[in-house]
Amino acid sequence: MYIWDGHDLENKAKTAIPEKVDLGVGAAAFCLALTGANPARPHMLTMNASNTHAIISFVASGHVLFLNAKTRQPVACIRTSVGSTGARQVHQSFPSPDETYVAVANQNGKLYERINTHYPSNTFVLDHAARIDLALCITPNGLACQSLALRPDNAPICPIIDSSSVYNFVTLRGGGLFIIDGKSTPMRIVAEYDKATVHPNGCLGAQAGNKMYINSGGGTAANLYEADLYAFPLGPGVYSAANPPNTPAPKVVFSEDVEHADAHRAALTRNNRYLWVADRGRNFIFVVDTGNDQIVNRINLVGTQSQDPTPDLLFLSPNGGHMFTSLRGPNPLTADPHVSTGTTPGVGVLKVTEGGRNAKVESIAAMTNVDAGGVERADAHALWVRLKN
Amino acid sequence: MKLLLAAFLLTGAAWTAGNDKYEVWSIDQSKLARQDLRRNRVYLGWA
Repeated sequence: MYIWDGHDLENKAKTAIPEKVDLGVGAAAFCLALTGANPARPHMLTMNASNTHAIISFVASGHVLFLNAKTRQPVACIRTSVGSTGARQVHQSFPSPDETYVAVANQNGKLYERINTHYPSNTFVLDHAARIDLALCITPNGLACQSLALRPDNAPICPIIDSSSVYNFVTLRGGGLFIIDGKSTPMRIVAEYDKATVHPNGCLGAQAGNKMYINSGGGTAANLYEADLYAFPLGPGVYSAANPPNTPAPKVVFSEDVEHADAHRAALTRNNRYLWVADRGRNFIFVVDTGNDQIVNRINLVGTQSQDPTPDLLFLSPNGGHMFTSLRGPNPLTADPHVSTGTTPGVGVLKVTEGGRNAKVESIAAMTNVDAGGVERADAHALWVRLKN
Repeated sequence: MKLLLAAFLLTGAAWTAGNDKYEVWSIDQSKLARQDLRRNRVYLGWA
């Protein structure tokens, strides 16, 4: 795990020296001792609202690791459940804004799980009574959660939680979407969407006022290319188990089902003025005006810093002056290589210009992990900005 | 008036400086992947 001082990245990214925390030593031994299994493939990183804890999702082994963000020391490690599929993975675990729980997308287990959290006392409990089996459940409308016609592959990809901490927008690998009340026990579906309404492989979520942006993407052999963005309404009483399927309908902001497209993650600029959506297949960033949902720019990232940056995740600096993006490596370990192969693994530093409408690629803070055969294995994916105050 | 202006500028400077203290975290997911490949390689699907 690489931790850079934010100011260093803004001013001298190429020479900035990161603090490196070797998860293969302390954290791995910690998880092995607690769960009897080694954590494998640290894929996503999130933090609670108070920035006291980092939460790392291990996509190959299904572990969720909690670290003290200040000391970098592990404080809890939980291995999630084996699903009816016989598998378990954690693609992403996402903390609720009110800090009472972490929602867990157990991808190939096809489970939606919840870890109840109390950060001050380092208490983290996997709540078995809360989980939903997305492969076998029935929706409030009496429909099979997973079916060839509606939602053919219910591996949950990314949980996105709204500011109320109640509504979890859960993207699905095969298309379709569930909105889940994350506070109830068991958690319950309060809205269902089919694959024709919400396409596959979504992962981004960003709330701007009374709407939640959600995407669809490519990145799989079954769905090579896709870049869609939807806006879902938010507000009291909008979502109810009594609603029929696909209600309320999302607004389609854009839909580009074209060669090389692969929308993945997003971030809002200062004051939520624009939404940036990274297209890792085409190496640019969509800029969407959140006032009218129009694409107002596409920021090209190819240039002297990188010929194939492959931007994956985005995160804004606290004062809004810079955007950071994780850049994939030449031997990507996740997503299909046709879109996830990059040439400059590390973190890209973008200077935000024109009030968030544009950017200049300033530099790349590189990662490297060359194996005994001289092959570069580094592959950046997770990204987060932590306030130190 | 000058005192008010100075207080305003100082407050603004403190806010800016405080806001600047942050870290950027990222993970190279390749290292532990080698353990995974040896010990329990599983189908990842999309990620």
